[in-house]
Amino acid sequence: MVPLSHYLILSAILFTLGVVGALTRKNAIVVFMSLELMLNALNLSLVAFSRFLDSMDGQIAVFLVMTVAAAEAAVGLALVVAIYRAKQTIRVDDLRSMQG
Amino acid sequence: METAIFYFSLNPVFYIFAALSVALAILMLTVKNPVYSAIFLIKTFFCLAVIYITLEAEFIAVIQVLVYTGAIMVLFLFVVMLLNLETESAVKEDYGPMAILSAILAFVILIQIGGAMKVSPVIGEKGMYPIEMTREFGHVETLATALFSQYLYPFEIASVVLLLGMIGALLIAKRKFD
Repeated sequence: MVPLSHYLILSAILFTLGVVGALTRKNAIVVFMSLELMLNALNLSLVAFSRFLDSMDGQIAVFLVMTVAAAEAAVGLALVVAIYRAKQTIRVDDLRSMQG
Repeated sequence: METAIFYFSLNPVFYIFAALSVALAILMLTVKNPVYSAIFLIKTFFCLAVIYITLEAEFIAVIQVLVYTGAIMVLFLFVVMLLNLETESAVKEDYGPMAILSAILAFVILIQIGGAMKVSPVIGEKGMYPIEMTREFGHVETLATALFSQYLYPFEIASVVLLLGMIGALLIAKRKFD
């Protein structure tokens, strides 16, 4: 059996890579994908904890996180499409103005 | 005893797919073309599904493939192609000093998380669903027992969240700009 700490370290590495992507990339869709990677890293640590603590709570949390991630992806990508139609760009550095 | 040996044999599987998922995540961050980024992210999610199998969470592994790689990433690819951003020059990237600074900041966060995990042993109250129960009845039944009794209200609220997400996406994407 792989110890719990190895799962948590993998989760931390994936989360950090997600943070790097969200901070350094300029394409809004890739930033979004980095957010999904961070959510997945969180899911991994939840499943690992629930396996090692003989509990189902973490896996139910993962189930709900996936539901929210699906809804969030749909709304977020609709926002990206709307921004692209209004501004003809999705480069995050070019989106500065607050008014439509 | 035999099942114990079988799950011990999953050890190398975990390490192989852990390394693979980290490598694919790095590729996802470094390639310029967003279509390739999406494909690498799909592969990362597949590796995570295999890692859920080593944790004996088969149902989570299946919905990882169905929901993440099947639904969410197809949506991402669809939007990338809809906006015609496949060309590498569509969104210019620059890795200036601020990017390097933010990467360093992120690795400081990694070291902090790793340090916190190293010093504090993971302790907690044992739950009601030992792994022998999952092996006997199957993961789906064990998860459903908890989901449809103790967590029924969150489950119902999840369906409302999905409905709101659908309505919101339709309203936002259909709006006309003049």
